[in-house]
Amino acid sequence: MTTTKRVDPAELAKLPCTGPSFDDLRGKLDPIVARYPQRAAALLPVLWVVQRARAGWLHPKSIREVAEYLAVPQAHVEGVITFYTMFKDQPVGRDVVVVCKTLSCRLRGAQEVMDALEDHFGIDMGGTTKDGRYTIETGECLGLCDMAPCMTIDEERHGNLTPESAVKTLEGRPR
Amino acid sequence: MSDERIRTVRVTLDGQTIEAAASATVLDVALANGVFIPHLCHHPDLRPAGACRLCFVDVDGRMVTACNAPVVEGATIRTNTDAVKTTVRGAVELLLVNHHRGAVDCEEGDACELRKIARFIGIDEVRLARFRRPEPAPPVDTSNPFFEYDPGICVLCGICVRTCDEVVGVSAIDFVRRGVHTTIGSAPGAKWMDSDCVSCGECVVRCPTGSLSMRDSEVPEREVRTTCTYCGCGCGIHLGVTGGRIVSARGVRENPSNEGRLCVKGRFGYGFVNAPDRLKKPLIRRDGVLVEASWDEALDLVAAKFTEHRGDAFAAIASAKLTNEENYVLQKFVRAVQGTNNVDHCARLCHSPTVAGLVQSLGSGAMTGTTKDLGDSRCILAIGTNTTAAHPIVALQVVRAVHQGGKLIVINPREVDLARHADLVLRNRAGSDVALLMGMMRVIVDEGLHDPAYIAARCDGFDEFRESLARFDAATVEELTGVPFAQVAAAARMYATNGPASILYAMGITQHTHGTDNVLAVSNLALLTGNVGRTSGGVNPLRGQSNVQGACDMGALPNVFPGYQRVDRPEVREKFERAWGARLDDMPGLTHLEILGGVTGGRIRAIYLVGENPALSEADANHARHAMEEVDFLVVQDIFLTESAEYADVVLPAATFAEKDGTFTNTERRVQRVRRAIDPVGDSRTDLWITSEIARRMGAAGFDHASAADVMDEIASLTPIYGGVTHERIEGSGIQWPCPDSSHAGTRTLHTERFPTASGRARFFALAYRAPDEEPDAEFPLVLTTERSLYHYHTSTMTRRVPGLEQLRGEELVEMHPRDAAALRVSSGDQVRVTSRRGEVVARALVTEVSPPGTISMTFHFHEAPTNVLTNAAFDPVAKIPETKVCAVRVEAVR
Amino acid sequence: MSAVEFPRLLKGAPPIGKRQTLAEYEANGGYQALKKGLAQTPDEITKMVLDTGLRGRGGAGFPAGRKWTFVPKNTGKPVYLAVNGDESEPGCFKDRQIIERVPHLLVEGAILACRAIGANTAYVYIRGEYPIGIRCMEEAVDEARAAGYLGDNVMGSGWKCDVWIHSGAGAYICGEETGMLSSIEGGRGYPRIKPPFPAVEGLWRSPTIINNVETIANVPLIVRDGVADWKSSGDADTPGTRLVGVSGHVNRPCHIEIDPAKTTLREIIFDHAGGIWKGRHLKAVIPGGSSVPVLPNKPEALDVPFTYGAVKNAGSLAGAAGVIVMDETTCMVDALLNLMEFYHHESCGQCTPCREGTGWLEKLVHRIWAGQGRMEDVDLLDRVADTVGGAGAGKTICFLADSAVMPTKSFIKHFRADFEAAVRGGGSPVYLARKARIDRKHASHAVGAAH
Repeated sequence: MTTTKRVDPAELAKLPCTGPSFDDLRGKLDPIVARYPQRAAALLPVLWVVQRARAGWLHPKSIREVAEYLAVPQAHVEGVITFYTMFKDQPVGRDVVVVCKTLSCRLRGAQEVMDALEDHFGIDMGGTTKDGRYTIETGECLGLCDMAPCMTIDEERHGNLTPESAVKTLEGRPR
Repeated sequence: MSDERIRTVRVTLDGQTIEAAASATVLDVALANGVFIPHLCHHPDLRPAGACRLCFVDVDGRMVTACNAPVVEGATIRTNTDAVKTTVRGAVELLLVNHHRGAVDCEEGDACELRKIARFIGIDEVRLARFRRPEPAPPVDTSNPFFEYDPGICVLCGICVRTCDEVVGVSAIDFVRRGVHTTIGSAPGAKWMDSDCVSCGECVVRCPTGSLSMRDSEVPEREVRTTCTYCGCGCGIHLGVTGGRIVSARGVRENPSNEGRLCVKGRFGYGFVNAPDRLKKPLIRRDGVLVEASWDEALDLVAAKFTEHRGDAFAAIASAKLTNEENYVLQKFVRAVQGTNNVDHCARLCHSPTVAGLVQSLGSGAMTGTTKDLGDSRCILAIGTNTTAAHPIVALQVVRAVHQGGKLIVINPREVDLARHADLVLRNRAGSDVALLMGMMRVIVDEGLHDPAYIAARCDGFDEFRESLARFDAATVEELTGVPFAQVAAAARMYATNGPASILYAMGITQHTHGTDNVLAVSNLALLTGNVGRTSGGVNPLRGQSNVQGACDMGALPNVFPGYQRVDRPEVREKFERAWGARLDDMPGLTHLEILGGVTGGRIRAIYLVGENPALSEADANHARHAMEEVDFLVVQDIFLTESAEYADVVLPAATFAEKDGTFTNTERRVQRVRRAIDPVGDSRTDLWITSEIARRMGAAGFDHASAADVMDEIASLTPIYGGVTHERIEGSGIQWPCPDSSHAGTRTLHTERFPTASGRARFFALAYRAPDEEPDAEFPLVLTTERSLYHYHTSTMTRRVPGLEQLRGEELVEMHPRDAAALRVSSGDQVRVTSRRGEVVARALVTEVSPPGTISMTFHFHEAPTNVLTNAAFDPVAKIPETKVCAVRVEAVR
Repeated sequence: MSAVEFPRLLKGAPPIGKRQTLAEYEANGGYQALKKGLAQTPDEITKMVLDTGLRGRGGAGFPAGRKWTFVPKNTGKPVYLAVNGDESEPGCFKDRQIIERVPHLLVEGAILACRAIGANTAYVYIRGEYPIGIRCMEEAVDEARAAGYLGDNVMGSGWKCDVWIHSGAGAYICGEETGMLSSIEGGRGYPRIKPPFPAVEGLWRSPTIINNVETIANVPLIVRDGVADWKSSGDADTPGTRLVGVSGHVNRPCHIEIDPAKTTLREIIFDHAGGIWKGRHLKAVIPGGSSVPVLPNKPEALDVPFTYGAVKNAGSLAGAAGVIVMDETTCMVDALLNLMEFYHHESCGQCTPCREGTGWLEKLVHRIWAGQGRMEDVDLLDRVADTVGGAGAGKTICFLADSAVMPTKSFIKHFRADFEAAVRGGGSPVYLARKARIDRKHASHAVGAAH
């Protein structure tokens, strides 16, 4: 389930929470928790596992389950999720594309790359393509300044982009 | 740390030499000496955050934030250097330009700290106008019935977030989002109401800008300092009055019991006082219908009928909601005028085993410690208490103890809210507390963790007790309690090795057919580890109602005069006969259940029911209803036409706590003033006046006190534990009994040197496990246990007349474990019928793992689903308390 | 070229995209230092690091060995090592070279550092934007554990040590050392007030030493080769080598390992990175990552060795060695706006001046950029910057606000003409070129940007 627009947060709980049940994730989570002297410390890595396993975003149910699992207040989990840009509290496309917008990339044409992607997919940065395939965001410095301008597609990285090569890269990936 | 509080340093503050505690911060010292330093994120109840960056001062040439800078001997502090002024002005200007209201158009007035600071600095708002943030104001969250959040004027000081964590221990809210987009929230799309918020309003009262503000708030014309009418925490409150109405409430910071903190009921639950359906006229039953009558008619009728029913056919049920003075006069009326000891009150249903048990073991049946001292315990064992719901302000001290590194052990069949703070949670089978506690004690003795020196010096009966431990081996304990023995042993070690350790308990311990045994097990455990007589240690029964401690102290009990002086002791009786000028009965009277039970056999012919509602509160409530229907003459004296009042022959309209003078004694034995804030509404009268007037119309002497203070003087003259209590002496922070004379300051911790027993020593009791009276079987396969909601109080006569509380919890819910729900094919929200051998009720289900498998729970707040028609009236042989914590039921879905 | 490429840290490192395996690392002398270190006392290791004068590579340049000595003894609390791999400073990508290519060097360094400071647990915090780096590190840690270099019995010594990788999730502020601690503890990455310093009260209120990735990666070299050998590069001010990233308007954006005493900023730009692209001229350079003052194209700024002291004397800071190069066509208003957007976006929001002020800096620059500025706004910008912070001003809990202020003030100082031209000419040339598109977008709407 993807969407091109932000979902009213009050409606999020009505969306399906896809992916494995929390019990099925425990096997992966318990050893992570064991790395820390306090359960609460495992919050970031646990959120990562849950987000990856469950369609790339954190459904309200996931938030509740994580809070319960780590015995931390739900408001704390919400506070953490909304603090870090890579945790998503909204549904995202199948792949998340991050185009770096910071200085080293801007100096070498990042703005033109973003313009091209917006024009090609007919969405604003931050939006999701109509086919639900990509959520395309801007990001602050990705630490790939030696290949500026650059973007990441989940774990892939692509550098020395031109407006054309950026579009071609996204369109050219296997569906 | 304590040294730091005593040690002082000398500093120079803006040229003035000042002596200050070494533990103080620069901000503390400045504010205490009348030097204003702008600040937004500082609050004296909270740890310094240092985030608003407004409290800059110059200390020896270095600019630091005053809120977290300790004062250092010889330091020169300057609050007004150019650098300080420029820096603070810059930060305030930045805040103002992003603020949604200018100081000019701000409606918060002087209540807004930001506005105050802007004025102090002398900000030119016109100059800033060009830079104001154009974005539209975010919407105001009005979801909570009592307060609202306006993010537009929030300065993100975080005081609300820290209060909810550090003071309340709930952490319902946190900062969400980041940077300039930060706001206060709880969950995606969640309104304030959807969070874990307990609506106590502690955040609201600390908010510096009015971003969090009371709804429907009125600035009162005047305030009256008094004591809250709800639970036994006994919080000091300022009631705000405009005209003849109560329009606000706020905590009294100087009050040692609550230090200004209040729960949702205390802060927002005053609306019942001016509820339109308050009883305003006496009612007399004519031709089967209650009709209005004059006071003369009603009182003459009551006086005539009571005269007819003098002696043991008469009984009175007093109330834990009346003042000490009123309870005193009421029991005096029963004993001196009616010539019987048939007086009891709802303590019978809650803490009679505490009195019965602790008097035997420790010599006194009350909390040995102080609410505040609980927060300094190194270990708290909370057994059979849902403290956050039933004693919210005591629970804050538990949170404080945990925040200070103290251990918390929670023992309860249900996963009560306190469990979230606990180091150990033991979920035992309902009714298995003796086995569990004895199992713990066996571990303590086996591992040598007990305190032999203390036991030898101060206790009797140890050897016999020790032998009785043999019955509680690991296998037996595990089988009886359902708790793995390793957990029992862990709890034992944690309790025994972290002192001072304090035990908290409430009705999960007492409301059993073996309630007295439970209480004795608790006192055994505390004695075993030498914890009784230690500050921040001891045995702390949490009393339920505002004056249940006082009602007991005043002798609203069938076997004792005021101050627990036994009616069967001739020398005691003679003292009271002399004082009251009447012959007094030497036989203990009937208890609560026996009074209502006595109607059936014709033993009881007239009942004077004051401020109680047995139709909902009595175990096996149908039986109580029958009794009230059957009895020849029933007088109900109350503030509303309760479910019980509907059975009355005469209804007498009483005044609320806000309409009278007197005292309440709270759970920590603190006698505190209740003050008249408004005149009694309509034609209602104080209980003191009503009872005295009945007595006078019956020709009795000794009922013409000029004031409640006069009554207290009489109480003091006859009651050694109240010997030094006068209204005048308790004006400030009350006095904790025992207070034998006017030179005595009261007693913070009981039993520090000797126990108030004949020998001066405490006693261990050998105990055996006894099963609950009624256990589940094939026909009634589930256990029903009763509980309380934070949002309601007792039979909800008061709280359900507060619309906001009704909104927060408006109906009975049958809580059950998902496993039981699945077996019954029931989901949350479904209607279910709960049936016991005695009756049935219908309510909606709430499926939750808070309930253990096999056990359901219900409150008894809702007349639409009167839970107590289900409960079992089988009672403890010593204390005569019915077993409302355990009965067998069957649940069916109502399709 | 004045320095040998990759003489030390990256010796034997595989090319980008490949990770050095345990076997490869061992073949290259890997974990010999650990063997040596286990035979030494913790104090001996600390003394070696102290004697080298190794300075923290995260930016502040604090002597690493000295930091280690701040751990209080016998507190009864555990001691932790936290390795800062939240390399988020715009223009910096040097730590990524270590994390992705020679992760075992970092693991070995972390174990040795633990040994020195009396810790049994290290957390390596790596920014969430480095998923490949996180995987490389996790694989390396797994290999090391399987080989007995980590675990309950390190190399049979009976000493216990574990290293865990903790992934960030997109927050620049977690590169601030106490913000990182908050993040490791599972919270919002809020920096903490100092004192108490982390060495006394860090993770879970226990003593915690925080070192940058590159700093820790140097430790095995020091232990293995000895103090004198390690000090053969660099000078007294900046001993050892430095990893430098070069980006922006250069022909060959790259990362290099240099001898800081023997390499000038000019050589970095013109020799290592191939000079200014498109045959253009150099206009400005930010030598140490986006938070340090910008330098104009002047000999006294460029012809200085890349040591902490020399760059400081030249008017900036070597910082985390992220050299961002700008050519003559660059509009400095546009460049500053980009940086102000960054700091505004990354402000954690705790402190009033930073939360409110970074937004105002962005807003004022934007006003000039978009042609709505007045001439006095340039000075106003300079003054607001002073309100928000400044090097060492201490107006906020951490240095993020100061980091926004340093570029702002230096951009105005050295390139006031660009700002005045934007005021006079109706906006930055970048804005004017995009105006039509911006207006069109404004008119149509705006669907939510990334938060």
